[in-house]
Amino acid sequence: MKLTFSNTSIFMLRTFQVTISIGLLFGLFVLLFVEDTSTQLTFGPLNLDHGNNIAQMANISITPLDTNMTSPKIVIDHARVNYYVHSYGYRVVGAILFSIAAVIGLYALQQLILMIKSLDNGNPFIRENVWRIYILATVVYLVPVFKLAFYLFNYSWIKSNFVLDGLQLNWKTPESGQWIIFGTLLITIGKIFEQGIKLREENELTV
Amino acid sequence: MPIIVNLDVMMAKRKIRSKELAERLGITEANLSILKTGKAKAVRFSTLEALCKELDCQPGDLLAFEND
Repeated sequence: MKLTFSNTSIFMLRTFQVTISIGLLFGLFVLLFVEDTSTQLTFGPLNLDHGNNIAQMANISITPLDTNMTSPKIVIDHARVNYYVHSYGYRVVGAILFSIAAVIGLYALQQLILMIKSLDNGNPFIRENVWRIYILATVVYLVPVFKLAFYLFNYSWIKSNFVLDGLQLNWKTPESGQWIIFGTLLITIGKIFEQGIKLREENELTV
Repeated sequence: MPIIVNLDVMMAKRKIRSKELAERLGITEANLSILKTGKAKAVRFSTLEALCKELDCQPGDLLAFEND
């Protein structure tokens, strides 16, 4: 059986390939150039003496287990201590997570642009747009999942790489309420679109 | 769909072309084609009335029910 692709399928396939490539390039960029992917341990609040510009935090020590971690940097900022550690492993995982998020985000953006284009063409009630809305809803649902994955990785990485004396590492859960509401709203709009398309098709096929 | 449209049979019997019939009915050729090929989801009574009038037939001559 001969496999044939329509022009639309080839276009979609190519744009998806471009999206993946751009996403991976983003990841590579983050890996090579963005220093902020080095982990940041934030502690506080501190006892601040603004007049004398002194921050005090007693009986606290942060010790990396791996001595290969280079140039730890401590920044005292707004009653909090930011402890930056440069770790290649952390940057690689950060870049991978960022690449995946970038690919998914760019794909969603591309679908949104295509939907706006169809609106400009004066023909928004097409089946493709329903799928685009569902894709956007899925991406919105995925945001807290990604945040959770990142927090989990961060938490376990800090736990396994540092000895924290006098500090308690709090587990942070992502706020997901607004994303779930937004995703559900998008699915509802998709369902309304689907009904609109059915009505339009029936109207068009009534002679 | 179990409803069969026998419009093409009736048109052949009356020896009338699509273009001419569409003009007489006041509908586009594209819409007549939708009806002829069985893609239509609904037929207005006004269209059915005009068809019966132009082709000098009964609705039953144009539509038939066939159980799947």
